[in-house]
This record gives sequence, C-alpha cells and structure tokens, in this order.
Amino acid sequence: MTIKLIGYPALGPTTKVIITLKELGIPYELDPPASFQSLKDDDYIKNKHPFGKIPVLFDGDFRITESRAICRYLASKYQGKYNDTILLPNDVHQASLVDQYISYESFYYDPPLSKIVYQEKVAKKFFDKDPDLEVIKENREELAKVLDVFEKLLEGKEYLNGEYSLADLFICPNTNYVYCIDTHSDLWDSRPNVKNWWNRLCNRDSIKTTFEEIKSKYNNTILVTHDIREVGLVEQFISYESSYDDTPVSKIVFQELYVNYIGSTLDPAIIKQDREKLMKF
Amino acid sequence: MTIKLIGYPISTPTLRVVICLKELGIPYEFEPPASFQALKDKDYIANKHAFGKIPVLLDGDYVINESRAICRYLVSKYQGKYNDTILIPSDVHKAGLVEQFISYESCYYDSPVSKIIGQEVFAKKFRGKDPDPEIIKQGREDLSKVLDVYEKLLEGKEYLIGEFSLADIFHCPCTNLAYGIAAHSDLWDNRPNVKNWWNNLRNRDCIKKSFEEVKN
Repeated sequence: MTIKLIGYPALGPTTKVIITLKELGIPYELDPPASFQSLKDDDYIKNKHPFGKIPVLFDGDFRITESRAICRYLASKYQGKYNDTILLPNDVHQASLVDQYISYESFYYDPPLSKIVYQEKVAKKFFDKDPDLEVIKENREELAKVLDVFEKLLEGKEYLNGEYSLADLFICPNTNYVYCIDTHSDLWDSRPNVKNWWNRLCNRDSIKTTFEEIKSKYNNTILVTHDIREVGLVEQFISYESSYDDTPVSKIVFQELYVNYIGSTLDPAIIKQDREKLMKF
Repeated sequence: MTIKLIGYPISTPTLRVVICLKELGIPYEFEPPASFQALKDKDYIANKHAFGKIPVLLDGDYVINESRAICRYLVSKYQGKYNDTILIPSDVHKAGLVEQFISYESCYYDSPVSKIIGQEVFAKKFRGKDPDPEIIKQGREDLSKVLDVYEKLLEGKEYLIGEFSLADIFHCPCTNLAYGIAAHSDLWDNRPNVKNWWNNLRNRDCIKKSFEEVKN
C-alpha cells in the first residue's frame, strides 16, 4: 500500500517530508487538504492531527504527524530499501551527532530566520503593517551569530556532520525562503563554508527537483515573486504568531494562496471580511 | 570510563538528561560549570558546546550536546544494558509515535509552560524583575488549549504512547516547575486524564529523585 502524505508541498514542514521521501526513493501519493479551514474540522482533529496541522503521513493503517518525526520514521523504516542514501547513520555516535545538529536547526537557526521573513513578507502583505526594522535588524544579528557558528562547524566539511544527513535536509525549505530575499542572501553568501554548503544542497537532485516542482505548480497563483517561499512562510507564521486569531488569517491565506492551486475561485468578500476581523483584533 | 554530565539541575534541559540517565540506570558524574560566564569561554565553545549552552555529555572522548539528542544517544547505546527500562521501543511504528510526542512537547507544550515559569520562577531570580501578569495569563490560556488536546490523547492511556517513554520524560522538567507553583497546578489537576498522567510521572522513583535534586 502506497504511503499517503497529507500536506501542501510548498509549506516548510511538508517540504521536509517530500525531500525525505525523494531522497530515500520511497513511492508516495500527495493528498493536499481541501482547505486550511478543513484542518480545524472535528474529523481532521480526531483522525489526522490533534492540533490541526500538516503534514500527516499514512503508511497503511499507521498514522504519524510532525514533520521531523515523520522524516525520522521514514529513515528508520525505509533507509536502504529503495536506494543507498543514508540520512541517519547506522553508527550510534554519528547518528546522535546528526540529532545534535537537528537540534541546532530547530532551536537556534530557525527562530531568527522565521522572524525576519514574518517582518519582510507577511506583516505588509497580510496585516498592512510596515516591517519593523528593529525586529529585522535584531534577528539578522541573531541569525548572523548562528551562521558564524555554522561557518566554523563546516570548516573542512561538506555537510554539518561531514556526510549529508537529515540535519542538512531540515535546513533546506526555510533557508530557501529567506535566501531568496535579496537583502538577506548576503548572510549565507558572505561566509565561504556556509555558501558552499548551501550551494551544494541546492544542487542535490531531490532538493532541486522538489523546489522546481513546487515552483511550477505555484506559477499561477496571485503572488507575484518568490511565491513558493511566501506560501511556506505564511504557514510558519500562522503557527508561530499565536497572538493572532488563527481563523481569519487562515481564511485570507487560503484565498490568497491556495484557491488557484486547488482550482477554485478567489472570493474577495471573504478576504475583505477577514481582514476587517483581524484589524479589530 | 564514567559518563560525565555538565549542567545545572535547575536547568530544564539538564534535568531531562538526569532523568534519562537515572531511568536507564547509567552511572554518571555530575559536573556543574564553574559559572555561567565559563560557558562563553573560547575553550568551552570550541570543545563542549558551539553555542555556549548546557547540558553537555562526555562519554569517554565522545562529546554530545543538546538535551534531546543526548537522551536519544543514551537510549540507543545503553537501553537494556543496566536494567529493563524501555524509553524508545524497538518497534519502528511505536518509536515513530514517541518521536511524534517529542515533537508535540517542543512545538506546542513547552512554549506556554515556559512563558509561565519564565515569569514565575526565573524573572526575579535571573533578571531582577517582577513577574509580568499579562505574559502569565497568555501562557495559561495557551497551555489550557494544549492540555485540552492532551486530555483526549491520554484517554484510556497511562502515558502518551500507552507505555512510559522518552516523550513523557521530556515533559517532566518544565511541568515540575510550573505545577509546583500553587496558582497553576489547577491546569493539570482539572483534567482527569492529564492529572492521572502527571501523578504517574512524578511518582516514578527516578523522576521523584531527580526533582529532589532540583530542590536541593
């Protein structure tokens, strides 16, 4: 029975799983949800994800959620079955170092990255607020410190743990989003080891193919440039910015980003109504 | 050569590792750093933790940091060696579910609990500031929503995947601090499944002993 993945390919967490499936050569079917709203339905909460999130993976009757857990499961079960790609080393010491780097990605690298993009891309577009330059500056400085550490960690190495692993894979979706913002690509390009590492990752077949597939599917959305990255960013910010009421944001996002993807038509009345709700909030 | 753990018991990440070591029956030596300042020394950064954090675990020449990575390492290498305690099942599906609940802890549970304890426990102690009631209120509201989900997830179960696992351990340190504040224990005690789960956890020998080390 083929593995089924519920998610939107352009969104960071789903992208992680897609890259993993491709890297390990695992056949799968992608099943995008009907809408962001459907993620909050009782049925979805009960049978797919108790927190109403994506991605969710079904392997026969087995259901698993949370992108990093899904990717680890796929590596544990299928690594070596379809091809020779190693994402989690068999040696316990090496595997644990990969875990350590995964932790660096989740807790040090990702937070400032996401905050920059929220200000640059989401604040203006969805909340009509000017980007907060102080917040951008602070988080650039924070990310720069993290990248300084990565610059040293990558000395004499092609990837974080020497050989390519899940830790490098996890970095990819969100880095791609921020790197493509012209004023921020210097963060990677000005550090030789980091720059080489990022270029190497971008040229890996599975990663390249995944990003190209997403780009070609999203070509017809109403977002003009960098749309695959923006799509991913918005989902992240929906989950990070819990101080906003999730429902109107989700409705706007669905209208602005996904209607074309699923072949529906934009409803400007919904956008207007939910913008007004958010303004009040 | 005995395992060496660098950290402070009051630090919730250090406590995760302490509980894991005790549960697996692994002998270890505890070594608090000379000071917080020492964590920023060039030597510490180069040889212990690239981001100047705790905990760090040394197993002979092998150095590993980040509490969750350390715990997975201990399980992979030592589970079954000193006792029969299973923290990550060998079945790939059950192990996958442990990872899923580990993700729930770090993505949904930890943040609101940390908001509460950041104010109630750490604001005065480390930043010389009074607790901010707005942040605490927000933390409580967010945590209530998460615990409502946990209440359903724990229906008919003693622990998150049914059997005790690493996922339950990871919830312990921050819960211990928040639950210990009288004004907030209701969050767990008002939900029968959650209350039962937390009582099971805090009465486990190794966890109880670990919490006592924090008090001291």
